[in-house]
Amino acid sequence: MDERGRALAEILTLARQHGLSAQEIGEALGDAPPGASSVKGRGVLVRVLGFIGGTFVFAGVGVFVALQWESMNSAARVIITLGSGLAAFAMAILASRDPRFEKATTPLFLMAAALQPTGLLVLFDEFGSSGRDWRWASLITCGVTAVQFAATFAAIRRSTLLFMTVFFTTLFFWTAFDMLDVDEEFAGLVLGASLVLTAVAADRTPHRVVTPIWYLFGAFGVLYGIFDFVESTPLELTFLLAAAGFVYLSVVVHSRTLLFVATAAILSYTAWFTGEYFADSVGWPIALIIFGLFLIGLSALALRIDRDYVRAR
Amino acid sequence: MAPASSRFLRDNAFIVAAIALPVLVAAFFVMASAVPRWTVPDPAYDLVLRAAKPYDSVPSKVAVEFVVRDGRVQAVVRSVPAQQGYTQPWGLLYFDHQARAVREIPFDMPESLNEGETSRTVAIDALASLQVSSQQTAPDGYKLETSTGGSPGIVGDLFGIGRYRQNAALSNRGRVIRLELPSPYESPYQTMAYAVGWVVEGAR
Repeated sequence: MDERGRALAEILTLARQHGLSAQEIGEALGDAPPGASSVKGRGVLVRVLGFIGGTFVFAGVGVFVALQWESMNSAARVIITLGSGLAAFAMAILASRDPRFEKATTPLFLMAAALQPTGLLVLFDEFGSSGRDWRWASLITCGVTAVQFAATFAAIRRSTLLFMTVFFTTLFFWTAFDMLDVDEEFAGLVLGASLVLTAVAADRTPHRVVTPIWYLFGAFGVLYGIFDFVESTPLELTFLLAAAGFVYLSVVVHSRTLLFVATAAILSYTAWFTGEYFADSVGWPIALIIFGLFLIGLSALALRIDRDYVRAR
Repeated sequence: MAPASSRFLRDNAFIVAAIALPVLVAAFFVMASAVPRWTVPDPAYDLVLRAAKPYDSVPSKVAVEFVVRDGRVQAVVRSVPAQQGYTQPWGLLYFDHQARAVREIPFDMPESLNEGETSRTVAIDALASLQVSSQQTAPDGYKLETSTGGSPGIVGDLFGIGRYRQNAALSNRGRVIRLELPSPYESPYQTMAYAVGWVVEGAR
C-alpha cells in the first residue's frame, strides 16, 4: 500500500471510530470561511487561558488541602484525596458522553489519575497497619488503578486512558519485580521490552500519539539492561548490535524517538569505551579526535535515516 | 486451538507479547523463590546477633563489642575518649528458630569504666548455658544477611514513603527468611544487624 493509500485507510478508521459521515468530512475539507483564522486565534487564546486558570484553581485547592492537612482526621484526608479522585473520574466519564464538555474529559482523567492513587495511598497510610511493607500498598494501588483505566479504555477508546493503563501497569510490574528481588537492570530490560512492544502495537491504532514516550523509556530500559549484562565482558560489543537493532526498528516503525535513543546509545557507548580503555594512554587526544569525527558522521547518518526512512511515513 | 483465538493472537501478537513478557518473568521469580521454600528445610539453630540502637542524646562513655570466647558470648566494653563524640550503641538479640521470633537479650552494661581501666569483659548471664559457635554460617547452612536502602517500589519513591528499609534475613540455598527485629531495632534508619554466633548446644 502506498503512502496515500495508508493515509486514506487511517482516515477511514478514524471516521468509523468517531461516527463521522462523508458529508461532515467533506465540509471539514472545504475552504475555510472568511474570518476563520481570527476565530481560531481567539479559540486558542481562550483555551490557553482556560488551561492556565484551571491549573491555578487546582493548585490553589491543593495548597489549601496541604495547609489544612494536619487538622484533618483520617476520614477527611481520605475523602479529600480519594473522594476527589473518584469524583473527577466520574465527571470525566460524564463529560466524555456530552459533546459540550468533551474537552474537559482529558484534564479530568488526568486529575483522577493523580488523585486516586494518592487517595489510595492515604487510605493505606491512615487505616493500614504501620508495620507492613509499603510495597504492598504500592502494588495494590497500581494494580487497582491500572485495572480501572483498562476497563474504562475498553468502553471509552481514548488515548489518555490507554496511556494511564500502560503507566500504572508498568508501575505495578516494577513494584512486583522489586518485591521479588529482581535485579533492577533486569527489571528495566524486561519492562523496557514490554513498553517497546506495547508501543509497536499501539502505533498501528489511532492512539499512536502516546507512543513516543513509551519508545523513549522502553528503548532506554532495554539498552540500560543489556549494557549492565554485557559490561566488561567478552560480549560487550553486542551492546552496539542491540543499539543498531533499535536503529533498524526505528526505520521499520517510523519512530524518531527510537532513532534518537539508539543514536544516543551508540554515541554514549563509544564515549564510554574510549574513556575506559584509552583515557590514560598517549593516544587519548587522537581517540578524542576520532570520536569527534565519529560523532559528526553518526549524527549525519541519523539525520539521513530520519529524512529518508523515518519521516517517509 | 480455535481459529478465532488463533487469529486474535496473530492480530495482537505484539500486545500479547508485551503483557506475557513481564507476567512470565514475574511467574519465574515467584517459582524461583517458592521452590527453595519446599526443598530447603527450616532453620534448626538459634542465632545470637547484634543490631544497632538509636543514638542517645547524651554520648555514651563506653563502646560495646560482642565476642564469642570458648563457646560463650561476652560483651567487651571499652571506654570512649570524650573527644571521640558519639559511638554507635549496639544491642544483643536472640533469634529463636522454633518460635521464628527475635527478642532482645538484656545484660548489665556499665555506664563508664573505672579510672585507668581500658576495657572490661561482661558475661552475658542470659546466654551462659549456651554453647555458641562464632562461625558465620550455621551447621545447617543458614547465614544472616542484611541489606539497607531498598526502595519501597516506584510509587513509594514517587510519594516519598517508606524510602529507607532495613532487612535482616536468614538465607540458605535460595531460601530467604526475613527477621522481624523488635523495637527499637526495627527502625528503618538503623544500620545493619550482624551475626555474633550460632547456638549449637543448649538452645533455649
